[in-house]
Amino acid sequence: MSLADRSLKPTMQTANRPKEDQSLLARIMKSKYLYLMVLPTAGLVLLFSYLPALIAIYRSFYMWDGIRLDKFIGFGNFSTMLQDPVLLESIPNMLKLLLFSLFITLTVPLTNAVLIYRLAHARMQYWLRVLFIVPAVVPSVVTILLWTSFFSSDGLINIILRAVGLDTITRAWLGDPDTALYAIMGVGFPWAGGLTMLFYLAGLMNIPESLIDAATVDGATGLRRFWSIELPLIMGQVKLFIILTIIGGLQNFSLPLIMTDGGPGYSTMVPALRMYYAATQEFRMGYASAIGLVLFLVIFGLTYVNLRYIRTTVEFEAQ
Amino acid sequence: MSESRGKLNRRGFLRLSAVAATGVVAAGCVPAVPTAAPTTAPDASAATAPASEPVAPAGLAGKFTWGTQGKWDEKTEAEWETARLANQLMKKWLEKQPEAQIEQVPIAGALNEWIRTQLTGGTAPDVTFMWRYPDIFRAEWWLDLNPELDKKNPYSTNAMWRDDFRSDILEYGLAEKGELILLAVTLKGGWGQVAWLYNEDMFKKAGAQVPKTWSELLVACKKIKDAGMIPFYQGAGGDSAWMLDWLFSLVFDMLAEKTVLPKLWEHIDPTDKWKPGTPPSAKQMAHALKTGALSVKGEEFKEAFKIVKDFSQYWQSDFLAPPDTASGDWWTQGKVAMRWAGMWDIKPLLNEIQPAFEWGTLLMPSITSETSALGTGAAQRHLGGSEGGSARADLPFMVPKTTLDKPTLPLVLDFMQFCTAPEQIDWFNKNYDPPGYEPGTPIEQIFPDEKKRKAYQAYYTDVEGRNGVQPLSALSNGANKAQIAIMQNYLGDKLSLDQALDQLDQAVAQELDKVIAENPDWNANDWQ
Repeated sequence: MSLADRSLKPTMQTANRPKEDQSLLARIMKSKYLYLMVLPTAGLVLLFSYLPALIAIYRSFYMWDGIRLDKFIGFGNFSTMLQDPVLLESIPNMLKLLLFSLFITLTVPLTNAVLIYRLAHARMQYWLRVLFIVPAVVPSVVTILLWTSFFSSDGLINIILRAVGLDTITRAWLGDPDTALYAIMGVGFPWAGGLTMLFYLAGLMNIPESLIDAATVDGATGLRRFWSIELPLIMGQVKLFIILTIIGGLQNFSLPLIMTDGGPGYSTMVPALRMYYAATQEFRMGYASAIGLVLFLVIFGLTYVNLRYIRTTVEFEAQ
Repeated sequence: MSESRGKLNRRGFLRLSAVAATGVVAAGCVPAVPTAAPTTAPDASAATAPASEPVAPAGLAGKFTWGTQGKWDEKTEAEWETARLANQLMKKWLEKQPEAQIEQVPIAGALNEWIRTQLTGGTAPDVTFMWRYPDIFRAEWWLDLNPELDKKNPYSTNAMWRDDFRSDILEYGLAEKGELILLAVTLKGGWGQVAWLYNEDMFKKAGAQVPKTWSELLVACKKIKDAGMIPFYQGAGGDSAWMLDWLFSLVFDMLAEKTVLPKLWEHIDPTDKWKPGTPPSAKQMAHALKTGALSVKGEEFKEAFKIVKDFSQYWQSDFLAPPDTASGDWWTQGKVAMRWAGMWDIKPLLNEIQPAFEWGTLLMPSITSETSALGTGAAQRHLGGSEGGSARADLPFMVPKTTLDKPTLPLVLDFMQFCTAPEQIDWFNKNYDPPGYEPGTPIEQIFPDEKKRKAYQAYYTDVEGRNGVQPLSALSNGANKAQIAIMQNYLGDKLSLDQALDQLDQAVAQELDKVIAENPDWNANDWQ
C-alpha cells in the first residue's frame, strides 16, 4: 500500500456525502432522527459553553462586579490591561512557561514513543506503554502537592543536593523569586507525558511496515529514519499537540495557583491567574472577561497560524 | 512547613478574616448611632423593663435554609464554639417550633466569594452566617431589619426587639446609610482574636524572656536563634502570605496610633455612618487616601516595612515559600518558639493537641521609642472581636433581600428573634468557651486553672479601646494583594525600601481610582 493509498480520500466519505441537488431542508428531513438525537447535546453545549463565552465578550465592555455594578465603559477594561502592572509582569512568565511546555511536548514524549516503537519485543512494548500511562491515574492536584513538597527547604530536591555535596545551591525553590518559575517548570520531571507519548506511538504504529522496510533497504536508519520517514508521517499528532500545548499554556493557571499563589511577588503570576483573581477576589468580572477575551484571541490567532502554516505530510498527500 | 505548620490554615484565615472584619466597639467610647441604635439599651441584661411575658408564636411551619460556615458537624463543634452553640440553639428553637425545619447549607470556601455567587444567581439561602466583609456589606443586597426591630420579640420581655441588643452590637450591623443588615448575638467581655503562641521551654533553654516590647522581642529572638532554634514562624508565601498583612497592619497600627489614625477618625466623610473604632469601610479608607489623611508615602508605612524586614531575620529560612503540608505544625512539634494563633486555635491545643511543652500566649510586643521614633508603646490591637472589654458580636445573621418575597421570612425572623433574646444570649455567654464576662472581671476569676489562663491570657482584653486597622485590605482585595506581593519582593531583596514604597504607592493610587470609579454614589469628587 502506497502513501497515496492511505490518503484522506476514502470512498466511504464520498459515499456519505449528501447529494448537492437536494435542498437543505430535504437533507435535514432525511436525517431528522440523527438531528433530533444530537439536538440535546448541541443545545447544552450552546447553553453552557457558547452562551457564557458570548456573555463574557459582551461583559468585557462593562464595569461589572457580577451583581451591583453594571456600567458600559467601552474599551475601558482593555486600556486598564495596558496599565495593570501585575498583568504586564505575568506575560513574560506565561511565555517562558509556554515555550518550555512546547519544547518538552515536542521532545521527551516523542523520544519515548520512538524508542518504544523501535523495540523489537512486542511484549516489552506493551509493558512499557503500561508503565508510562499508569502515572496518569494520579490526580494532577496530588502530583502538584507532591512537587510542592519536593521543592520545600527540607524537600526531596534539597535532600538529594545535600547528599551529593551541593549544599550551597539548596534553597526554598518556590520561595525564591529567581527560581520559583523554573521550579514550576520542573513539575512532572522527567515529563514522560503518558498520553502524549501514546498518541505519538499510535501515529508511529500506523506507519506501514512496507514503508519502513523500503526506507531501511535504502539505508535510512537511526536519526535519518526519524527525520525523513517517522516525523513527517506523525506531523498530524505533532500539530495537534502544538495546538493543545498553546491552548493549555495560555489558559492553565493551576500550577501557580496551587503551588505559589502567583508569588513570591509576581514571579509566577500568569495572565490566566490574574484573570481568575480579578474575577474571584477583586470581583471585577468585566475586567476578568476582558482578559479572557484577549487570551481567547491570542489562542485563536496562534491556532490559526499553526493550522495555516504547519502542514502535515498526510494532509499534503490527501490533496 | 505547612498550613498546619502555621496552623492558621485557609479556613482559619477565613474565620479570622471574618472576625477581623467583625470588630465590635467599646461600648463607652462612642455615641449611639441615631438611625438605629437606642440610646438607652447599653446591655441586654440591663434592657428596658418587661412589657409582657415572652410568648413564643405557635404554629410556625415550613423549612428555611441557613447558610453556615462549613458543615457544622461533630468535628466542627469540637473545634469551634460558635458552631457548637449554634447547633444547640437550633435544636432548642426546633423544640419550640416542632413544625419547622432548618436546612443548613454549608458554605464552601471563602464566605464572601460564595455569597456573592449565590446572590448573583438568586440562590442565596434564606438567612446566612455572614460577617461584615467590606465588599459584600452593601445595603442593596441585604434586608434592612430596622422595621422588624421596632416590633416586639416574642421570646423577650422587652417592648421592642431592638431593646434586646447592646447599642454597639446594633451599630456593628449598620450599613452606610443606617440600614441595619446584620444582627448578631452579644458575647460579653473582651476576647481578642489574634495573638502569638510561645514555647516557654524554648525560651528557657535559650535564656530568653517572654517579650513585652519590640526591642525585647529582638533580644529574645537573637538568643533563641543563637541557641540554634527558630524564633518565629511567619507565613509569607503561597496561600499563607495573607499572614504578612496581619503583621504589617498591626505594626502600622501601633506606629500610626498618634499620627495617622487620629486624622483618620477626624476626617470622616459626613455622609457615612461609619464610626471611629469600628473596622474602616472601603469608602472611609478611600476617603482617607484621597484626602491625604493616609498616605503610603508616609513615615508609618516606611517604618512598618523596615520593622517587618528587620524581624524577618528571625523567621524560618523559607518564609517566602508556600507551606509544605507534609511537615505539620512546627510550633506544636517544638521547632519554632513563636507563631501567630487565632483564639479558635486555643481550644484544640488545650484539649486535643496538648503540646509536650509549657506554653502560653502573648500579644505582639509593643513598639516603643527604643525601636522607632514613631513608637508609642501602644498595646497590640486585636483584629476583630472586642477591644473594649465589653462585648463582641457572634453568630452573625444576614438576610438576603431575596428572602423578602419568600414565605420562609417569618420562620427566619422567628429563629433570629429566638437566638438573640436575652435568655438565649445569657445561655450563650455562660456556655461559650471562653465564657462571656462582665467588664472588670479578672481573668483569674474566669480561669482559676493556670494552664487555661496562660493559654487565653493574650486574648483577654478587659480595656476600652478600638480594633486594629488593616489599612489596605480595608480599601480593596486588590490593594491588599498588591501590598503582600510588593512586601514579598522587598523581603526577598528584589526591591529596595524606596522601590517597594514607590511601587506600593502606584498600586494603591491605581486601586483607589478603580474603587472610586466603581462607586459613583460616593461622589468622591466632592471629598476634600
